[in-house]
This record gives sequence, C-alpha cells and structure tokens, in this order.
Amino acid sequence: MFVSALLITNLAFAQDTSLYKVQRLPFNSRSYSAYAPMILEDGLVFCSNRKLFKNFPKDYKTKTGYRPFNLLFTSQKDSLKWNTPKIFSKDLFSKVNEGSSTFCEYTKTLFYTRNLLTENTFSVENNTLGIFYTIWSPSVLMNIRDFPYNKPEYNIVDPSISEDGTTLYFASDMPGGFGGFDIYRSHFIRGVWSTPENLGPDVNTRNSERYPFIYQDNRLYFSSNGHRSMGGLDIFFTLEKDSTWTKPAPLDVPVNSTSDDFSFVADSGLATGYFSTNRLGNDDIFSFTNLMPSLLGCMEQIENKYCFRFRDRKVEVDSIPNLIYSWDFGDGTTETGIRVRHCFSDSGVYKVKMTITDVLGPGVFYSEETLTVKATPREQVFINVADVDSEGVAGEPIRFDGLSSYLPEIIPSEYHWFVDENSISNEPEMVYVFNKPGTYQVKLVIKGIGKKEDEMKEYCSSVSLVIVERMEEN
Amino acid sequence: MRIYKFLILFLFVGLPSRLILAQPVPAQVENIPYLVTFGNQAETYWGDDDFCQLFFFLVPEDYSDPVYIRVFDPDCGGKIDEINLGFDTRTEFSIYGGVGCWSDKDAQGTQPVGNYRSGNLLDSRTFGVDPEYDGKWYTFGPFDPRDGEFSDEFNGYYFKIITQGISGNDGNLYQYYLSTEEDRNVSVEGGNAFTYEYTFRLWNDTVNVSHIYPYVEDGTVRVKQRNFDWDSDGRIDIYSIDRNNSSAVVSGEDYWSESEIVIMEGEVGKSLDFQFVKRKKPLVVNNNVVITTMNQYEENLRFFTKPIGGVPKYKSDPVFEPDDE
Repeated sequence: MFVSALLITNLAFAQDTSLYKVQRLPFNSRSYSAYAPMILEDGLVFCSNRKLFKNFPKDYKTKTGYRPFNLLFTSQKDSLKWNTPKIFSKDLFSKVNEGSSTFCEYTKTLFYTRNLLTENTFSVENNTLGIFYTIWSPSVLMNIRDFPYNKPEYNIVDPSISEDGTTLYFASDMPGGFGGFDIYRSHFIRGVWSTPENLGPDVNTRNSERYPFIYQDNRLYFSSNGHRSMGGLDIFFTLEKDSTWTKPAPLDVPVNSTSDDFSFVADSGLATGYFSTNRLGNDDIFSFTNLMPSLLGCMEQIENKYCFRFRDRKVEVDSIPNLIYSWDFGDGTTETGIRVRHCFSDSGVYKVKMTITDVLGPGVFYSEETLTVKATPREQVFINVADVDSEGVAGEPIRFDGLSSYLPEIIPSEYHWFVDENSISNEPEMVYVFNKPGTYQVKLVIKGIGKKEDEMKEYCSSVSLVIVERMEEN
Repeated sequence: MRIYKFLILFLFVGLPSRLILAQPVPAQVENIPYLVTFGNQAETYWGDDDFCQLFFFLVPEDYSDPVYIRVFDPDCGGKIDEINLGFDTRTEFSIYGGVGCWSDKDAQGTQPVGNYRSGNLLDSRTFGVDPEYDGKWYTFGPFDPRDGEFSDEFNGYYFKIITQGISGNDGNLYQYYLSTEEDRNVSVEGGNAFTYEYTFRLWNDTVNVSHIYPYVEDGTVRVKQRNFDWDSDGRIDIYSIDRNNSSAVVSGEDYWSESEIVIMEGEVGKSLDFQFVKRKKPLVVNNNVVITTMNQYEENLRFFTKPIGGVPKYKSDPVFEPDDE
C-alpha cells in the first residue's frame, strides 16, 4: 500500500496543469465597470457603465447617481491596442440597463438583457431584467421582441444562443430553482420558445449560477459561487452526455481567482477568449489564451495492426493453372495465393519473399522477388493502459503511458492527460485512481516541435475505460 | 556504327549458353521431340495441314567458314516415324540460298504456294524407306555462308530448308542441325533458326511441356495465333516478361482455332513463350500439331528456336499495401 502511494506521488498524480495566459484589456477603466464580453465580428460587445462622450446621445443617471449599463462596442487596432469603446447600437440604447448579450450568426439574431420597463421611467429599481431579441445587422434593426418568459416577478438574464439558433441558455431566479440564479434553457420549436428547462442539480446549486456560454451544443461554461468555488464567482464547464451533465469543473488559475470571475466567452476553437473579473477592484474584461491543447479533434485510439495485402500487380486473376504463388513473410509464416493478406504480430522491418513455382515441374516456370515491408504503428498518440484487462476497478490505481505513441513528424515535448476533460498530469506516464464506477474518457495530448517545420504540433487520442465496483472479499 | 544486334541479343539470353544452342531444331529450350511432315497423300487429321515445312537458318555475317545443314532421321520408316498402313512416303529436303530465299513474300508465308521455293537451290535430296538413315544424320553442305541471302536485320545470311512430303501418307519425324562440322553437330556461334509455321510432334506423355517463342517485332500491337489439329490436347499458355496467365484457344481434330492477345509494352522486341501443356487424361499419343502467329497486319511472326531476347522469364511485380480493416 505504501509502495503504491509512493508510486502515485512520483508519477505526478493529479497535478495542476493550468496553462491559461490572461491579460487585462486596455480599454477597461479604473472608475467604471466592464463585463459580459460578446465576440461579434472583429470586436467585442460588452456592458459598461462608463461615461460616454461625443458619440453618446445623453448621459443618463438616476437620482441616486446610478449610471445604468449599456452595450458598448470596441475592436482591436492591432495586437496590443483597442479602439475607444463606443455605443454598440443607438437603437438598443435605453435609459435603463442593457446587459449581457449573445449573437447567432446563423439566424442573425441578437439577444440581450435589459430592464423590462423602459418607457416613462428612469428607474432600475423594482424593474426586473429580461431577455430581448432582434434581427441584427450593422445598419438595420428590426423589431425588438420580448422573450416570452420575461416576467416582472423575476429576472431572466445572460442569454447564450446555440450555434443553430434553436436553444437559448440563460440564467434566472424564477421560482422553482435550486436557489439564487439557476441556468435554464429554452428551445425554439416551430416559432415558439419552449417552457424553460432547469439544467438540474448537476449544474445548479443553492447558490447562484450565471453567465452561461454554450459551445458546440454540449459544452457549457458558466459562472457560479457554488460548486466549491475559490471565492465569489468562478468559471466552470460541464459536458452534456446522454442527457446528463458531467460534474462541473473549474477553469484553472489564473482564469479563476478568489474574486468574481465570470462571463466567459471563447472563439470557435476555444484557444482564445474573454472573461470578466473584479480581481483588480472594478469589473474588468480580460482576454485569455488557452495554452492547453485542444481536445476537440481528439480521435478514438485505434488498435495498432500490422496488416498488409500482398499481390502481383501484373496479375488480375485470383488463380492461374499450374502456378503457385508462395509468400514467405519473414516472420516464420508462409502462405500461398496470388493475393494474400498477412498481419505481422509486431512492428518491424520484414523481408517478404514471393516465389512462383510451376506444378508441372522444376525449371518450367520460376520467379522470386523480395519485398521489404516496414510495419509501423499507426501515426497516433497511443495510450497504454496497464493493470487492466477489460475493466478497471474503482479505487485501484491504473497506470497509463503514452510511450508507444508513433508520431514521426514531431519531437514530443509535452504530455497532457485528461480524464473526462479534466487535466490530470503532464508526464509521459501517470497513475490514476477512479473513485467511482462508470465509463471514462482518458485522453492524451502530445505536443512537439515539427521535424520539418519549426512549429508546434499536437496530436490527441482517447480511450474509453469502464470502471466497475470493487468486489467485496468474503 | 554497325550494331551487331544479333550477337548482343545472344549475350543477353537468360539461360546458360549450352542450353540455348540455336542450331538444333527443335532447340533444347523448346523441348519439342520432332518436327513432322506427312506425305502429301495423308489426311490432314493426322496433324499436318500442308505436308510441307519451311525453316530458315541464320549464319552471322562475321562467320565465314563453311556450314552444314544436317537432318536427323530423314527417312520415313523405322522406329521414329509414324506409319500409316505401310511406309510408302517420300520426303524431299531442299536447301536454298541467295537473294530472295527468305525475303520473297511467298517464302514468309505459311503455305507452300507461289514462289515459296524462292532463291537458289543449293542442294536437294529425297528420302523414302532408307534404313541407312533411320535414326541417323544426313548432312547437306558444305555451304559458304555467303551463299545465303544477306539481311541486315540480324546481320547475317539466311538459308532455307524446305521439307515436303511428295508422296505417301506416313509421317516423317526428323530434326535439323546447323553445324560447323560435316560429321558431327557443332554449333555455329551466334547462329539461329526460325520458321513461320511450326509443324511438330507433341510428347507422348503428360509431363513434358513444349515451348515455342514467337518474336514480337516493333510495332506489334496484337498477336493472333492459329493452331491446327490440336485434338483438344491440353492447353496453350502464353508467358512473357509481363504475362503469366494468358491462354490460347486450342483446336480439336482436323480444324483450325485461333485467338488473339494484346501485346504489352514490355513484350515488344522480345519473345513470347507459348507453352503446350498436355492434358492428363486420357493421354493423347502421336499428336502432331501446327501453329502460326501473326500481327495485327496479318504478317506472320517468326518462331526463333533461340528466342530473341532470351527465353522470356516472367518478372513479377509484387506489391503490398496496408490493410488494417
């Protein structure tokens, strides 16, 4: 037992592998808040209560001095500089709060959060928030429509629309939830938004869950001050598999901090994106670069087989009278036939000899050729799973290694292990203990410098592992 | 610069030179027991369509000593020849040289018609029942090589021998030899022999495989073979450097059959190998057969006893490809 524990420690069991690089964006202000970024074309739409100047129609304030939030837009000048934010759309501007937004490129629909009451009022108190949507283009604004479940009795906020525009995720403190704000979703079916569906206790807690960001229909990022956050709101992600959500996992430091970290959005490859945080006092928008490998292209590992078909290219038929084709595969096995298939038991270089003889007698017909066959493993990351026959046992350590990977294009330099998307280890070998029975996806990403092109490349494979309950000894 | 093409071809022959002596006709690489010519009163179903066989001998230009054309068992009687009721056949052997002996169009035909006896008659002798020559050699010559017809195709002199059954109905089985000596068989270095129509005897067993080697001249696209009176005795398989699974249509009793193959690029300028594989059961004995080949212009191709380009040896092209399915 002690030995086992030592082994686990030595093989970097469950290491922290945060590889995010974050940066506060220069357009943030020390005096005002900025949050809820939304990537739109070549810039960002975000919420801010900052004071706007020339291009702002009127600087509203409540009697108490509260300056409402509005949707602003800014874009990058170059890799370091951003343009001065300006109002995103005068048509969307109101005297009350406009909040977080989302845009569906497919349906050209913009969803955003706003106080329900805008006319004849300048109050944000007792004025709950709802979601509104409209067909949007830079030059044309169509009718703004209410999300049908907006109610004065509760808030519906933080929209995130699926890629196809048919599922809207949002946060709400409507009755019936688990506490605070919960994440819900509604489907747009035949022109009608379905009754909001609470994502359930795997996602929602007694505390608040806000700012959903749905990615490729099944990967949900959200913010929560539950789920044992580091402090305040943290950003988590979860995957929907077979109609259930995996246990939410927090993003690593420095994306998350002991302050509020929220409203995560990312580009189409999850390599870069933005989030909000108040770690420096005000709400600011930060950018992040995900130095972690992308698991999106991770393919199921394919068993290495060293099988080949052999034939005489000059012959189209399957048999020839009198002639016998004999194949000596150089591994101690032989076969006859014009076309044969052979699987070598292992990788290696084999000298395969083909002989054609004539049954009519020696000297009548004879031909011999030798082929050099290089049986190489499939070009892929290869995960060896030791200590396991067909199923692993919960609570018992299982050793994994990627040492049999065949990646001739690169010189491997980084190893990244994941179990169900959770980063586990950065070593070529690892030992992991699955505490609960179930089916797990173990993924390994190997990065390295290309041998031909001097650039980093990465490869990924995954294996599915079934973990069963430990059998109790009598 | 003059190219001694024939000599070069000789050097590239794939088998040891002792095995590819051209001057025995049939040659050892042909593994044919005997040539055969029937008396002109025989029925064609005995296996001879025209009772005549033309062969040409080629003496290299640079060989200047006398040559002899020898005939083994020229008589028609005794153990070797094929009797029909009683031996009464007379066979004429005639040697021709000089201009036209080969180049005359009729000499390159497959039937003894027109001017097939072109050229200068150098010698002739008719044999009947002559026990003196039964199982023995008869020698024509000496001949000055320059008495043949010169051709620069292979840079040599051509002699023609016509064997024709002029009476009777028996089968005369015989062999030739182009020799440098009168009383023994000594090959002429670089010599060769060929015919446009081969009439010969198949083996009286099922083991031996006979071969002939049609030469595929430049420009040949298709080769048609015609064979006569094969008695459906097995198969004719066609091989070459690029071919190991072609077959020719085989004739039955007293009729011609023909078939065609498309020539591959690698076969041009080389020889094909026609292999005669006898059927196993029932054994056909004393099977005399005739075969010719022609190109797409119906020009007859030559069967060289020493195959041009060497005995074609099939060169396989084994390949492999991954198959993880």
